[in-house]
Amino acid sequence: MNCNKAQELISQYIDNELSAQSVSELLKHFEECDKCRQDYIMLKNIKAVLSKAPKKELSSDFTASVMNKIKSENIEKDDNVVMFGSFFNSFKKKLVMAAGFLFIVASSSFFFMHGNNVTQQNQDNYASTGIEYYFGYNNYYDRDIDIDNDDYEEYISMFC
Amino acid sequence: MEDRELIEKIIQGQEDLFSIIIDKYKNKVFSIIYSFCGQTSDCEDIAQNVFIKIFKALPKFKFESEFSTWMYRIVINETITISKKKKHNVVPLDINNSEDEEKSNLIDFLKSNDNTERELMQKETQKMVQEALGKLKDNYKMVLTLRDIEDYSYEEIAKMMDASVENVKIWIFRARNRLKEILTEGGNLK
Repeated sequence: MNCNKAQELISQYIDNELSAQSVSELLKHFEECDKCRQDYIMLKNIKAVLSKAPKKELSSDFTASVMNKIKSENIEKDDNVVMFGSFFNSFKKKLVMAAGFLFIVASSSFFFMHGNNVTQQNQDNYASTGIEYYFGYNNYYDRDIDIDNDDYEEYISMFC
Repeated sequence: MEDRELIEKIIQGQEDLFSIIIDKYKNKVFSIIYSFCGQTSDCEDIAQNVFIKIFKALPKFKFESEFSTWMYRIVINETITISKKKKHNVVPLDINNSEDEEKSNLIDFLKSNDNTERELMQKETQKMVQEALGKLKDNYKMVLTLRDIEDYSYEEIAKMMDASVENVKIWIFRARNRLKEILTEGGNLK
């Protein structure tokens, strides 16, 4: 047996996991090789120290503490307030989105209904979009907006 | 009641029965955590969190292996993960700066073939070996914890770490040699 093989087997020898034949060969090697024998003694001592490592007892209320934590976490999971709150927040968002959509539809309808009444006389003064007209952004009336007539006709034709 | 029957009932809603599982395994689980994480005050908190993790994972248990095997895999993974987060390596190893006399005594002790039990349990020796253990890679540290401190067999460790017995033998061999290097040469190798 060479030293490499012996080194591989030392660990298993310490754990009593070697076959009788391997033990015999390893012990024979130790008689011939002082370094491998020293390594075996050191590893055996390290294992012995670890096996005597101090232990600690669990506190007597450990099980109860874990069970309490589990129960309290379940309460949070099923907490109706949180659940309802989440639902309500989500519902509010949907409500705002629906209101916004309805508002756009209503304003567009208003423009359809009144867009044809826009006189040529006011064309140059009206704002460039129906929405601005609907909201009565009067400042636009006073602005000197240079709207090309063809552009205006094209814009109106989109709705009429 | 067998583990399997207990787990089925817990999954079906009888959650209080989980206390029987805790009572059955708590000492072994805590011992692994305490041995791996070192003598820190929050090992019990870690053990609590590990059991909660096991409880939450129960619906994923497929009854294809022993419950204890499946549970110990969670224990080992969680212990290593939490230990990394909390940087649990006890006190940083400073064998290089240890007093020359202490180092010399340790090496003499390790070379001696007739140490008494009292010498093995000596506080200073324990401290130095534990600190050296804390310097190992996580999987090496875990196999030595399971084998040398907790006294599990190669087969048990292989199941717990989801590895082959051959791999466990190799890890233990390498871990012990690395530990020896750290203790005798101050951890400067590799």
